[in-house]
Amino acid sequence: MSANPGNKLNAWKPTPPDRGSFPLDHFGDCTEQMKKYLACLKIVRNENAPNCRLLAKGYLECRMQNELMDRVKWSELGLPDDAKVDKNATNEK
Amino acid sequence: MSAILRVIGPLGPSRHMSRFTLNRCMCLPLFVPARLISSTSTRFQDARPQEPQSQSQMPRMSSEEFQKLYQQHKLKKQKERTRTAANYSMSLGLIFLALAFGSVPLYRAICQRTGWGGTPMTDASKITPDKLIPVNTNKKIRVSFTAETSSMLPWKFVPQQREVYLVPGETALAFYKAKNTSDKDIIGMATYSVTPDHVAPYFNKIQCFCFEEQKLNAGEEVDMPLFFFIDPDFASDPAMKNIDDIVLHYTFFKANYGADGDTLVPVVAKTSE
Repeated sequence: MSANPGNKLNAWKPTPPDRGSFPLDHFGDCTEQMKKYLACLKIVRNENAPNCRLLAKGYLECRMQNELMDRVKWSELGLPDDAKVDKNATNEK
Repeated sequence: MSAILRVIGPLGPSRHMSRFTLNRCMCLPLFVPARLISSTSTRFQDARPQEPQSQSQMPRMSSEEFQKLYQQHKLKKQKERTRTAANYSMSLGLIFLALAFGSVPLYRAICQRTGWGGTPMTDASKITPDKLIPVNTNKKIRVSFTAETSSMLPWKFVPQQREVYLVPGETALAFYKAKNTSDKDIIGMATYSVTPDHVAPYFNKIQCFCFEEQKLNAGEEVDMPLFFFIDPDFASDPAMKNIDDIVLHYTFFKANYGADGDTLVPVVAKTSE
């Protein structure tokens, strides 16, 4: 992939993702959350802003609910926990 | 037998033997049992004055006997030696054979653990929560998204956002959209590349849609998410100081199930057509 003669002998290979692959959302269960997230990104001009990250969290939550993703702790995904975000929400995790 | 050896002494012509043996007998009083000493000394004392006769009879006999015994002894020793050597060489061969067979999983295990020779470390526990803490810096890195499909794949594959600005350690979600514009169910498989190349070890994908078959039904359009982050060590690496632009490129290939029905094989364009 890198035809760089002066470079180190790094034969870099693409690596599989650490948590595996996302199953395809054939039925569009989480399209709403995705649209919201993309709209947010447009507003902040593609900065990975905290509010957009919350929408990303919402999207992943939708995926987990529809069994399109394994349920993992938010800290493992680098997203803020529910308890910190919303004090009124029931502590799910 | 050892007693006889002690009596007879080293190899040599029969003429000198009696003299040698006499000396030997005198020198080894401790090792020879008492009854033997008396018997041998008397034997040789008798033999000495009658030297020519005893030499003609007994030493020749004993010399042949001795030779025979010595040959036997030598053969036995040789057999033992060859057996030992054979054992050693066989065990050595077995060790190397075992090493040859076990080298593949062993190598894989070691490389996976240490990341030797650029082996990708796909250990899920590598992404620990402490790696996902955003680095406290103002400099944001721009991650651009590009997409490509193979000519054999009639899919429309585009990124849904041109770029994302983020800080190392911050996780980000990105989307690609794929539409199967043909009238058949097609299986595709994606691979990716990160430019510049030396950023690649820092680019960690938590979850994406690559490396596994993605089947799109005819005319179906699907959103493909990608969840990734840049390792926080990126910020402390001096070689990465000037990098603030990363391009993530995804390529989709068409894949078919091979003849055995199990393995996914990429479909490449035939050049001789």
